[in-house]
Amino acid sequence: MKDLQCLQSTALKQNRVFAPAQTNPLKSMKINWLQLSFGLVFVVLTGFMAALIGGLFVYGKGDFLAVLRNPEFRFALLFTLWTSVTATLLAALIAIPAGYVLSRQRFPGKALIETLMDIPIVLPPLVSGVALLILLGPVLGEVLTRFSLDVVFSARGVVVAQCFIATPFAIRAFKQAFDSIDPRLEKVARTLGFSQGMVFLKVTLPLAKGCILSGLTMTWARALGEFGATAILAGITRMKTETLSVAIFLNMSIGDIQFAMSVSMIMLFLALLLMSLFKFFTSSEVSQ
Amino acid sequence: MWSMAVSIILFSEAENPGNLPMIITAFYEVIQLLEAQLTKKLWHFKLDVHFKVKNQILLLWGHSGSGKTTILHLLAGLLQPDSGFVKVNERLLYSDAEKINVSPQARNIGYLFQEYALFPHMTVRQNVFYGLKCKKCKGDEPLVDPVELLNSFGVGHLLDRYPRQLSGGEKQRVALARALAVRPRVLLLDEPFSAVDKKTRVGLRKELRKLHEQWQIPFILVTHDEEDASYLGDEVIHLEKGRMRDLTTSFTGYARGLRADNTAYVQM
Repeated sequence: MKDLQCLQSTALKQNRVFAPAQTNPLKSMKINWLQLSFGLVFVVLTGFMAALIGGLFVYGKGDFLAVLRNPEFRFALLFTLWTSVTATLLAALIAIPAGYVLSRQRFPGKALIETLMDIPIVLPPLVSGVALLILLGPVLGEVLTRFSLDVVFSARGVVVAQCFIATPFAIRAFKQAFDSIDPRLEKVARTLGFSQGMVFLKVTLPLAKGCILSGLTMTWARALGEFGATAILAGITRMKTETLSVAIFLNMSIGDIQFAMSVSMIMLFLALLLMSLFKFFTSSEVSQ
Repeated sequence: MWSMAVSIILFSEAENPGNLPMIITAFYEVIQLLEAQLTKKLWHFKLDVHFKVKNQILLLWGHSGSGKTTILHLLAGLLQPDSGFVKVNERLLYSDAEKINVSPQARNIGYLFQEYALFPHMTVRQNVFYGLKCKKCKGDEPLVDPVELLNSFGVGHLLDRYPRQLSGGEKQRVALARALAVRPRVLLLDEPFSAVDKKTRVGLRKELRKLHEQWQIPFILVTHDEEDASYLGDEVIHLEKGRMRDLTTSFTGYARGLRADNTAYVQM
């Protein structure tokens, strides 16, 4: 009798144990469908990206080394590097104060000013180029010529266009970097005897370092690939304002596919390099 | 004490050249005294307070949003009042009438922030020595050895740790050492026990009392905890919507009663 009760109770217990398990497969089936469809999208996307990059390699592998030795290519590579680095440094010089003010100060019309600064992000680069051309050509052109600082249709124009397009990204990144720092840290440093400038150099900047570096890589990537605004403001002149992007456009349009492909591959490598730099800086930020 | 008086002279001379009477008062004034009269319009009420503290613990007690932290910010110079004055040992740090507004870094007022605000990218040692770097560049010799200070707080062994590796109580001691290392003339404490558990809290409260007895400078402490108030407050200001309500009298009676309970609790 006792055994029977025991059996019954164990059966009950087992039932209780199994009861939720019976409903579970259905539930997990539902989740599985979701996971399956999402996973499928993920796989297709990965495949697509791989095919995209692979296609470029297969098609462009032909005379890769010959292109590397091409003086036009060398000019474009060096020209792109120095213009984009200059543009990135300029963007940083503008974005650090701008990002700091946007992060720390409250003033009337702040939202409006923030939107204004973000305009180059949403504006088509061609329109940015036209706007820059109008401002630096007919409006300010004469003044600039007097100081022999012509921007239009010159290498300087390339830097200005890249900087204009890339700065908003830097401002956004730096604002976020400064937002993530507790203002109390700056205040406590003030009460310990440091001036505002010293606090900025010794507390704020070191703390924001990781975010600033990752923001800079993104800014650089943006400047590196800039085409639309550059083409309008600085023109498309072979061996004069020829960045890598402009080189691709020029050679595609005259039918030198081989050259364009090789340059595209170089740009892909640069992009991958910058992306891994960005990943490195953001991950070092997390581990801190 | 002697060297402190000298440093006060250096300070006064730097900012008021030729103001002899003030140097002399500063010289003889060894008892630390803080007096402040402050008004500031905040967005939903007006802050209006006037108080004087000697070498005591003044407690600002009130609900959150009653303007306690704002008062500390005004005293430290991190915010500017609309009118009034702040005076430490007859030296004006702020006065709208005389158009004086000494910058926070020159006020020599220590500030212990809520949750302590230790620099996360520096070790305990770097944190505590941080304030001294600037003292040195002004020409003052370091007056307190921060390492000794840390030892006396029982956290001397943590010198090379980073703040994220410390417990709440340890963080508080490090932050206290950092604030005291520059020898402030007044110490402001904003909810010093809010980030520690109840048990640590009771111990820390006791330590803070002892510390105050050693340092003999005005401590101004913000809290909304009644036990803190009753155990630590020599003077209590009850703030309500930026105004002072019946200074000390009513609360102290209540507080004394609580303090008796509290000591019993501590001894347990």
